[in-house]
Amino acid sequence: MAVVPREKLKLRDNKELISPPALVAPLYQCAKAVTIVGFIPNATLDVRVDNSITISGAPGGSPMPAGCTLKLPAPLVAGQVVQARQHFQGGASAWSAPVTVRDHTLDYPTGPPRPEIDPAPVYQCGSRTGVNNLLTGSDVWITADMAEVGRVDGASQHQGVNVNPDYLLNQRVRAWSQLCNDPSPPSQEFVTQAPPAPFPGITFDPIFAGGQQLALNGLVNGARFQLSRNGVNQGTWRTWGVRHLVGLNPAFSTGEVFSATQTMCPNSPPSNPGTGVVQPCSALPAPDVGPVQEGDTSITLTSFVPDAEIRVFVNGVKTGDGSGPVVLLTKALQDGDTVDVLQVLGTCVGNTVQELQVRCMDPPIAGDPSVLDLFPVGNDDYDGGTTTSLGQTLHVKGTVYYPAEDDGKGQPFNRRVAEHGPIPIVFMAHGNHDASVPSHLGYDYFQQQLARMGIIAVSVFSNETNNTGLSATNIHRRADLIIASIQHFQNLNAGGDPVFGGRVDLSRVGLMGHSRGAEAVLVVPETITLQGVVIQCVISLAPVNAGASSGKPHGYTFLTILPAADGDVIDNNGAQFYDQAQPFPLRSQVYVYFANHNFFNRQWTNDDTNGGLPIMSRADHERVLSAYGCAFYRDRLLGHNTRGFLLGAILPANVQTGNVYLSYSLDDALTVDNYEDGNGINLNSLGQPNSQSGGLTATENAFSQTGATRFDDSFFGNTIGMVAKTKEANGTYRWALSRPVNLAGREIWIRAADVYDGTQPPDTTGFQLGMETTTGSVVWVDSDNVGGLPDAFSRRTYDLTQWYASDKTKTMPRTLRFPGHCFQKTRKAMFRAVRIRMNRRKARPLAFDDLQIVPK
Amino acid sequence: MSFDADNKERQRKHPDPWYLPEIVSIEAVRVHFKKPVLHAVGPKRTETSEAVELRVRTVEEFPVRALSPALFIGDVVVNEYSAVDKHLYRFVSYETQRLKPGTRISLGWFGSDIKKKTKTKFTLELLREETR
Repeated sequence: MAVVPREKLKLRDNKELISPPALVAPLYQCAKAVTIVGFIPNATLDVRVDNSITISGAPGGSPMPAGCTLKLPAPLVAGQVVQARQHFQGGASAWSAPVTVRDHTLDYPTGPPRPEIDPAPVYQCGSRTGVNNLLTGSDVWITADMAEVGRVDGASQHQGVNVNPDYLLNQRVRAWSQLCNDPSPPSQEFVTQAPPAPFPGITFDPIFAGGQQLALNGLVNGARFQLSRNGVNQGTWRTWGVRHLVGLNPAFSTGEVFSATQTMCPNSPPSNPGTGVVQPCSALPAPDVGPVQEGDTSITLTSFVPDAEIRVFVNGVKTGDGSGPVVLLTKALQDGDTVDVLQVLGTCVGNTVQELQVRCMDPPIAGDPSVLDLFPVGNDDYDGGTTTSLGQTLHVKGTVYYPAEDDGKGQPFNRRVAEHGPIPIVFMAHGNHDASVPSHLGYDYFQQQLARMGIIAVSVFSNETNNTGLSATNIHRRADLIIASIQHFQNLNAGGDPVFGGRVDLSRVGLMGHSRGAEAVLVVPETITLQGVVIQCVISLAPVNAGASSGKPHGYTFLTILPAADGDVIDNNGAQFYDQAQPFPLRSQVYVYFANHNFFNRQWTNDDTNGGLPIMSRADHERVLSAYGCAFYRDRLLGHNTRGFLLGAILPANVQTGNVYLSYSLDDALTVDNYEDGNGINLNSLGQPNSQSGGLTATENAFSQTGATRFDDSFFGNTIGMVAKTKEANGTYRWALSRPVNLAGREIWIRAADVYDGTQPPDTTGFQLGMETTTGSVVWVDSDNVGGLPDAFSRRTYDLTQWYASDKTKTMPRTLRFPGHCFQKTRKAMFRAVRIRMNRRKARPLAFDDLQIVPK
Repeated sequence: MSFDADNKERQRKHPDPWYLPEIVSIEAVRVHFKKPVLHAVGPKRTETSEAVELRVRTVEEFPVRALSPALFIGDVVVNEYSAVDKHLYRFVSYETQRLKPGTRISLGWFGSDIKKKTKTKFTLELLREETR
């Protein structure tokens, strides 16, 4: 990606080409409004329902921040098909992709999701409140001390609601919603607080000539702000705070001065004024653009002026014209296409353009799988008495979070959830830590996230097994404690417990363990004998390996999270478990740079590297566990479509995914070679010949610390793989397939790594993967075109200053996925072999494993 | 009004997570169990009637973390222990036949492929036999 001067490009504009806008989907029956996004600022909008235009020429205004919500003449009915289009400067777009209206009870059988007061908290004298997590077109209202103080019928997903009268101090505020007379649960309750003091000033985003929308920041929730333009009062606005966009007319001119102050209570003084000065058109920057990959039919902007028109050119030809954050294109992108994106403010056309190349594979950010918020969350402590494990008596207790009628301790189980049958349950187990610390409370954030999406989440108190040696016996005791807690909840479920009686589906059990607890959760499935309990899936977070399990996770879906900057479990032993895990139907490994051992647990406050390694914030650690953990349990326990996060097809929002490297495999893939067959380097797992040429030499090696055939000491897993070296440019390795394959709808997956040799290279390396057709030609795709090979996470300097004084920097392969369409340039082409070519100058040794052809 | 200042509680633990405290004494006894005791050997659970117990007194506490200190007696790793008292740990080995009296005892870490060990001044000497 690069910013280039527009004048240097020959961009062919086409004023008649306008992108269709997008309808915010899904749309549900009874919705009284639709929201349209992605249109050009000040375009006019049409909406048609079942091919009949029901709204015509509606002024769109600015598409930011939340699009244009248009009231419908009649509520929607399930099965209707809704589309939108825009008109701008005499041109008209095509109709948007059709959205079929659904019955919301199909997606939300227990009622609409829980509204969220966002932002929070709310303040005395607040005049407006934001409510998020709404179904488009639903009704939303606010209560203060249970009296309705504001309402919007036909709301957008994140709706501002004006409050009358303003809040008093210490009022209990909640938001409510309904669709089709089906009520949601109430939002979390907030008690109004005294406004912040001192009252903060307002700041402005950069303002550019030609624009018509101001972005104000630093606003207090519920405040009123007064805006002046060149000293002339423009009026007073209510705001839900933080950030607010204001549209003005006429367009801004260079040098104009805007100022704003905010106030809350009538007797309190306003804030100091904030000011913004309009910059000339020449200062308008290029927008920032998210990843694009072959097949994409839209681009996503990550930074742009809110009221800018966004024009997209592909290979110099205009292919899209709309607004951020998503611009639809008129044709799909191809690998290698050059995409230029510029922003326009009225008559001001940006002087610079963001230019990028389309990659074969560059997964998009596709939301945050941890934010599904359906229900209030109840919690409680539980006490299951004692159990005896290997001669030691241990207390069976911990905490539980569950979907409830309301938030708080001891709340009744959610009635509507209960009406739909028992729900899955997850048990969490902490590791060895100071026994005076309540370690089991450290995953409360994750427990709450699971509970609010409909999973009971238990955290097991294991402190009585702490301050002990790391031994198989200790790990088994921890496993017994988990099993005893499972049995306790089985008893509650069967015994008519008022909260959990009949509400727990023990055929859908998930486990999550951390540190020693992460090995214990591998022992549980191998030792549990409770009838009716089925362990579906296990997360092993930064596990030790005391040899307490078989070391071969099987019969359940396995996910391990490995912190590369672990200052405690310095070998990242979970790599051994991943390597030996059977995909059921998948396995996944999340290797996280700049993550330490402790910061996934909120009670473990010390950085286990003692500041010796650069690490992410604690919040970023938690987001890794939340995002990948929720995606994992939603896929395995709730049947949600979140598997793509675990297979690298999509990226979770709010996670530092640049630090995350995944490995994964599926059980229904065709394994070309995994080197586990004992048939030597010259035969692959299909029994077909492998060959080396062009100066490349390859050997089968143990990717472990102890294997006799290990290549060097930088491998920490437990598998056999291949290390390839080349003396000449373009050394090649070839795997013959047992029969020709067509790659339509398939992908090539391979684990690969730059072999760490004790030094940190100046730049990253890579290779090319080629597919050889039955006629002998080869289509090559570079590893950089599908995500690339990172340098190893360097910890050498740190390790050498520790007591053990040995380098624990690791060669950790990641899975690269090469989509078949990047090779399948003709529909009928068939491929008879897979190749790699080491085409880098001064090519370093590369490690490979698990070459698979995978149905997409 | 004056201000209070600088009274952070002293950290009780040794700041180095790899700190191995000096061993003050090791008292080893062979124990015969009247009733076999259960323990885990790898993924399996087994009963044993005999063990060697080593009471290890140290000058400071062991760090409490995922990995743990262990005694290395010849090629036998003794990594099962519990804290009995302040600075006193009870290590247990069920590999009684492989423990040879007179073998030098080293202290190191279990749970990683760390080669480094710290030799102690102690050798394995079985002081007595006990029946429990």
